[in-house]
Parts: sequence; C-alpha cells; structure tokens
Amino acid sequence: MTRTKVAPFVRQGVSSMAISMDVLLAQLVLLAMSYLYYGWRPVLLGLLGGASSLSAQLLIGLLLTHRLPERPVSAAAYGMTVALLLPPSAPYWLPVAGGVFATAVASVPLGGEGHSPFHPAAAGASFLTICFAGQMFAYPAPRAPMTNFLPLGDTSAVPAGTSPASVMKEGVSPLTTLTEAATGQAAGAIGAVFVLVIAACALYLVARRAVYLSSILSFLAGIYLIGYLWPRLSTGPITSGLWELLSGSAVFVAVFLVGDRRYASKRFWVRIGLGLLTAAVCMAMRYYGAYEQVAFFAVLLVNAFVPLFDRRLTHLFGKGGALRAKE
Amino acid sequence: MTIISRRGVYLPSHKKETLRKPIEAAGLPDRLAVPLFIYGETDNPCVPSVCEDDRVRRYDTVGVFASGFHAVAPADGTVREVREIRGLPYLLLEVDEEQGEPSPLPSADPKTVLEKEIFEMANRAGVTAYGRPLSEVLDTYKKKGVTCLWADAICEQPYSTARIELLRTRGDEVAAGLRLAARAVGAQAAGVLISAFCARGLPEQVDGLAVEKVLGKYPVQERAREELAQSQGELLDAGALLALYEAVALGKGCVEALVTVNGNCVAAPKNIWVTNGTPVNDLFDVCGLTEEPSCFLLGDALTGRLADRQEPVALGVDTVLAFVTDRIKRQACINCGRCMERCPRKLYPTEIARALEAGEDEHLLRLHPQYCTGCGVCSYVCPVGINLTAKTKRAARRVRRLLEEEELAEARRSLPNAAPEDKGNAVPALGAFARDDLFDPVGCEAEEEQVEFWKKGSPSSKGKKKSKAKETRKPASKQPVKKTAAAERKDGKGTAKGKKAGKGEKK
Repeated sequence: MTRTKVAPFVRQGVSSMAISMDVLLAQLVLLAMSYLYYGWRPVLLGLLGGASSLSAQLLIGLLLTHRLPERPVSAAAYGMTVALLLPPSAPYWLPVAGGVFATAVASVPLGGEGHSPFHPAAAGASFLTICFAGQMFAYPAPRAPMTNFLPLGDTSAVPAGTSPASVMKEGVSPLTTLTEAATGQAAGAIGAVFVLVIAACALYLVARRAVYLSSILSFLAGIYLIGYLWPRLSTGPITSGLWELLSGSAVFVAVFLVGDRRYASKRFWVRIGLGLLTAAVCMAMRYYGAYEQVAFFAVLLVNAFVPLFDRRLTHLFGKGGALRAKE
Repeated sequence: MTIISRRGVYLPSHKKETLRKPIEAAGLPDRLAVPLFIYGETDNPCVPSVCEDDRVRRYDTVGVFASGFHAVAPADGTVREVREIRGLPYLLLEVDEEQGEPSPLPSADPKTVLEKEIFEMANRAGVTAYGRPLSEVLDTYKKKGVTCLWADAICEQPYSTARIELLRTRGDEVAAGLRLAARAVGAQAAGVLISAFCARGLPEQVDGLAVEKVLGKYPVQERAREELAQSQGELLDAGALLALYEAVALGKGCVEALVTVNGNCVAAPKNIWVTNGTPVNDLFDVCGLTEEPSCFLLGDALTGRLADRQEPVALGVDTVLAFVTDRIKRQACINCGRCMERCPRKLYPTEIARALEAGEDEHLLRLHPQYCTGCGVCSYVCPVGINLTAKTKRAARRVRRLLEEEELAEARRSLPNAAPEDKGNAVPALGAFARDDLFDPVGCEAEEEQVEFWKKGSPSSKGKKKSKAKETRKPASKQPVKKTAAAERKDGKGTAKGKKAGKGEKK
C-alpha cells in the first residue's frame, strides 16, 4: 500500500473553486439587475471582463507551466469585478484591458491568488482609472427598468448622466434621493449602483464565508463616520454620511474588495483597523483627490499593510492564542 | 455543559452505523504481536522478561517497565521472538489452539481496597489511559489535587462509539472503576461526560453517577478538559476505568479493548472486543469488506494514522477504519484564513507552514506552533487540501528543539569557564525526527516503507505484500531474548551514533 494519504481522512468539502463560484454568482446577480436597467450591453461588458481575465490566466498558465492553471475561476471573478466598476456605456475594450491587467500584471507575477500583495481587481480598476479616466466616469443617465436599453454598438448618442459622487465633489447635494441611489436609479458603475442588491449579496457571501463581515462593516462605518464628522454637504452630517456611503461605489468595493478574505488580514482587530484605515484613505482621496471613484485606490494602498501585520508583526497579536493555550 | 466557541467545527457523524448494535468479539488470532512499549511513551520500552520458545499463560508478565508497569500476555501461547518493527519492540506470540482458564491476578474488594493497592493492581494488570500507564495518570491527578473525576465517554470524532457503547452495556462496571479511581486520586465527586450528539438512549445516571452532556464544536473534549480544570476536575478514559475495575475486583489483566470498526468499505460496521496485538486484518474478517480498502487507519478519521493490514491493534486504540479514498488533489494555498479562523488554539497554520518551509526560525518561534494539539481542524477545513496539521506538528517539533537548544546555549553562556564558541548566538541545525514522525497522530506525508509483521506462511500473513524491510532471524535455540535496540537506547547503550562508531573502529 502506498502511503501518501494523510489525516484527516474526512474533509469539509468546501473547495477553493466553490469560494470563487460564490463570488461569481453574486456578481451575476448584479449583472442581471443591470440588464433590467440598461439591457444587454452591461451584461456583455461583465462577461467580457471575466472572459478576458480567465483567458489571460489560462494563457499564462500554458505558457509558463505548459498545463492549465489550478484555479481559473478566481481570475474570472477578478475580471468581472473590474467590469462591474465600469459605466454601462463603456467601450468593450475597457473591461478586456482591465481584466487582462488584473490577472497578467497584478495577480500571476506577484504570487497568484491570495499571495499577491494587491487585490488584482483593485489594481485593474486603478489602472483603468489612471489611463482612461474619461471613459471610466462617462456614466449614462439613469433609466427606468426595462425601458430604453442602451445600444449594443455606438453609445455616443446616449445622454450622459452625473453620478452623485461627482456632484458631491463640487460640494453640492445630488439631485436624486437616497432611496433612488440605493435602488440603482442614479448614474454610476454597472454593479455599484444597486446598493440594496449588493447588501443582499454580502449576506450570502458572509454566510458562505467568502468575505469577512468585520472588514466590510469597519470600512463602511469609517466612511459614514468621516462623512458625518466632516460633512461635504450642507444638508447635515447624517445625510452627508449616508451620501458618502451610497456614492462612489463604496458598498460594492466594501463587499467585493475590502471584504475579500484572500486579501484581508486574518486577525480580527487588524481587519477592523485596516477597514477604518481604508475608509480614511478613501475619504481623504475623495476630499482632496482628482477622481470621483477612489475606493479601489484606497484598497490598493492598504493591501500593502496586510502582510506586514500578518507576517512581520505577529508577535503583537499571536500572544492571545498562546496565552490561552495550555501545553 | 455547553461550550460555545466560534472556533472548531461540527463534524459529520457516522456513529449511527455502530451505535446500539450488538457487540461481538474478534476472537483470538493464531499469532499476536504484543507491543513492549506504551503508545504515549515510545522512548521508554520495557525489557522483555521471557525468552524465545517460553510458554506463557494469559495475564503472565512478559515485560516490566522502569515505572513498574507490566506488559501482560494476552493469551496462552509460545513466545516466538521479540522483533523491532520501525524501531519499536513487539513480542510475537504463537497462540495455543486451546486456551486454559487464566489464573487471576491478585484482587481485592473494591470497597475496602487501599489506595496504594489500586496503583499496584493497575500496574500489574497493564492498564493504560491516554497512552500512559493508568497509575501515572492517577498519580498526576492526585498531585494536582483533583477534586472531581469524570469518566470520559465523549467520542467526538466521526466514527468512534466504543466508549459510549461501553457506558451503555457495562455502565455499572465503568462507574465502579470511576469510584476506585476517584478514591485513588482523592476526589470527592465523580460523574460521566458524554457528547450531547450521542446521548440518545443513555440514562441520566449510571449507577448513581450523573451523566453530563457536552455540547460544542469539535474538539470539544479538549475544551471540556479546560473547563473542568477550572474547578479542579479531570477526565479519565471510560475504557481504562472498566479495565481498572476488572483488575481490582476480578483480578483480570488488561488484554482486551472495545474497538469501533467502520469505514466506507466495511460491510457490517460494529464494535468488537479485540485482544491486544491482534492484526488489523482480523478485525475485518469479523466485519467484512465490500471492496478492497486503499488504507487502514488506527484511530479515528481526524487524528488516526495509517496502518498496515498486518499491524497489531494495541491497547489504547479505540477505532479502526478502512477507507477507499481518492487521493486529494492538493493545490497552492489561497490564503483564505479558514484554518486560522477555526483553529481552537488561535494558531495561524498556513503561516506556520510557510515559515517552516522558508526556514524562518525566528518567525516560527513567534507563531507558537508548539501549542498545536493535533486536532486536525485546519486540514479538515482547508479548501485546497493542504495537510496543515502535519506541517504544524513538524514546526512544533522544530520549535521545541530550538527552545531546548536556546536553553542549553543560555546555560552554557552562564557558565563562568564557558568556551568562547559556546558564548556565541549560534543555534545548531536540526536533525531528523524519525521516531516522532512515526507516532505523529496525523502521520507523515512522505511515503513510508512497507513493514512485515509476520513470517511468511504463517496463518496471519494472508494478503501481505512483499516486504522491503530486512528481516533478521535469530537462531531457534533457547536463549534469553536480547534487549532490543530501543531498550538499549534507553539504557544509554547502542545508540545509532555508537553503532556507527563501532563499525568505524572495526574497519
């Protein structure tokens, strides 16, 4: 008998593929919502993002190791995340560029899934923002569900809309109501405007243990708190805090980037701290930066601290376990 | 007792297949391989007190340990040889076809027996608990000032039901054993602890002792022990308590144990009484197999170790499993953190494994792998199938060795006449831990070589594969059995280094 099998001889049965599939499933729900508002174009953009990232992963795997990579589905999830941060009227090459960048530049060369110091989707979105800011923030005007779908071809004739984030940057209150902003009836990114649906997806992902609730809540709490303490709007601190939450893809980024357990810290209090730090960086960029969507930049910056806390400063946090343990 | 914790896991249960089923006896095989060591203390094997071709009767002493603990013959038969298998000594006994009535060991009335006599009788009968002589365990509890003793019938792993069935079928004797143990320890109170998931059909009291249910995630036994320790309580294996009662009241040696036999290719899973040293194969003759297993396990699914078909089942093993399993396709870690989230000791297994592989000793020391209990939760939850438990245990051995070396270096530095090189900060490289790996409850990852327990042609050698291990046959003449290498090591002679040096001198 060849003894290569080792204990435990029963396994929980949750595979890495299942984790990525859960994320993809949640994103497909957002694409479905986007279809209801804008038609097939955002769906095609989302699928293109996922497919380009997946293709890049497969191609790199075949070129470098001459075999198919172990977990291509995670790459598809990164590409889809980048695509969901684009406007529904974006050109088709934009999600392709973002998806390929996320996998080929920010993931595989830097250690692969879970080991890259930066979230690949955050890197992909940041790359697109820096290089193609014009296309990134050219949002179409919000539509009523199932009416006036966007054209699949040229979108130059589509009426432009103004996102709440860009209005707030000018220090003016958005024209839409908070309820409209929560239900996707405001100009914004494909997946990021359906805040209530994203919240439902978050519950699903938390239940499936695909994301950390502590990271999500600490980031969102930080955003609200800073918006409350230093309001940009004259309508009062509470409304200002709520608008900060509902604009600039904050909820989407919280769930799919900040909460992603592969790139978050493994220690509870570090997650809370880094969630608040991400919020602080994000709000500083909103206040003083050039772009209206900056949450993924904040994620990218704070990601760099995770290995520091998890690997180099373990003695600061590991002692709790050690003290409780008895030999 | 309810233990609420975010850490740990709820395991799937396969207990229904063996719970409340009739208990059978495996019967005596033609040959037995009696271990001359105790599982928890493999570094201190006993010196055999019998010779080749000696006749022994059931309950005769075949070896005495330094602590006074006896290795007991499990059946009437003839000693064939003492053989070292994987560095540990076994006494191979050819069992007589007709077994005589065993002469009982010294016994006493359980109500009037003295404390000291309980310790002596447990030693003489060869009763063990948690891989140590029962007398040593009781002595430890006594020194700790344990005030409440609990019979441990928790059976928290997926397959094991032996202790619960002991309680169900022989609860009164277990309770009597518990009273004896409590008297030996000086405990004023006693009770029985069972898992709440297996409590159906069990009484609220066993012979006047309360049955407490433990509810919580695996590993609940370890946490229950910690909870009990706060009120000076301790656990004691129900099987050992039964053996203690039989030793004291009936003069019986501890030569049998109730073992759960199960697995995904076992035709009729059941609990069976197994004589110490019975080959694994014989258990499946009783229970039957639906297809050829790909592995046998001594122990339950989370902490068991792989065994050969011919390997003897020693006392202390309460579960033997046979599985047809596919090899798990392992992938690279995705850093999901599930292992850390679930670890009952709050360790960071994936980082420990990384630091071990990278040789980052300083970092490894900060991660405290030495606190790992080997429960297997990290490997169980890992979505990419990495065997983190084995890696953490390997890291723990490395850290223990590092700490020992550090202590030694510190002591050397503190000496006034220490040599300059001793005052340096060097930590010596670590050697291999072959023996530790062998008895690692989660096994080692490397392919192990097949070992042969029985000579060819013996009735128990059926189904055996070709051996790679070299067999050293001794002459059949009647001569005292030589000390095994393990025993010599214990005496400080014949170490591996010494043998090499000896060879060198001859050259």
